Amino acid sequence: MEDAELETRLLERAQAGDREAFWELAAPSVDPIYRLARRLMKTEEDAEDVVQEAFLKALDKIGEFQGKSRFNTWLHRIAVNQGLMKMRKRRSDVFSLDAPAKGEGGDGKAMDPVDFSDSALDELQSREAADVLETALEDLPIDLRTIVVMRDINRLSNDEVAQALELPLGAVKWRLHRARSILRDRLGEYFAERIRT
Amino acid sequence: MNCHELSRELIEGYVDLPPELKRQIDEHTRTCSRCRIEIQNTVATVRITERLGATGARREMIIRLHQRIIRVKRG
Repeated sequence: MEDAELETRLLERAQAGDREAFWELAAPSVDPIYRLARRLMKTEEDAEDVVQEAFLKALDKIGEFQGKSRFNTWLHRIAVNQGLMKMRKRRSDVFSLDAPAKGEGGDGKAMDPVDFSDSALDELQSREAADVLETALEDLPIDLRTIVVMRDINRLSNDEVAQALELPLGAVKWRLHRARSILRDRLGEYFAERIRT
Repeated sequence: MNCHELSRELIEGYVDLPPELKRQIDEHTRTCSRCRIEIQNTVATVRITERLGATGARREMIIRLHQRIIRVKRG
């Protein structure tokens, strides 16, 4: 059975009240939603709360899901909203995902890049590079971070990210490119420093 | 294609581009080391970012979530 066909059948059963069908439909999204929540929230505990709340919200609203996007995409949307709500309650990291990102629409290439591509993908150094990237990801503005996690870590398409965040496709692409550029420059700084020492 | 035409969108979006457009860019980067390095670095950055996806939720949390899904009363 094709994935889409299986998803439709499970969705029909879930909407009829079959909880195991809901779980079968939702379970493959637990890890991606956790990865997203962990990078939205400051603590592991809050991230796990967001995951739990997102799935329970999805269960509650399953009757309203019309299948216009993939179920996984819909869950990403719910998880982002749950994360935002939790942040707002704590009055920290309050932000809007549809506000224009700083410098949106700008251009300009970095000066004199150092080629770190081979070093970064080398097995030993790639672990260090991953640590550098994880920190750089944490430092990204939350709107850019959310898009990188959805696109490059959870492998949603640009269209799916746009659906999940209710953003125009152009805004998703611009923010993704901006985020990749910041992450690349952080890795560049790290490897340039290594070369110097 | 030249450096001016090779916009940020094409550099940071290179990994997502269709093969024909990549081929045109590759033709340019064969003779332009600056653009080649930018693209290679960006591709490496995306590949390492993808590897951050290896982590997942704790097993205990998944079990607890499953139990709540099965037992929770609908509102």
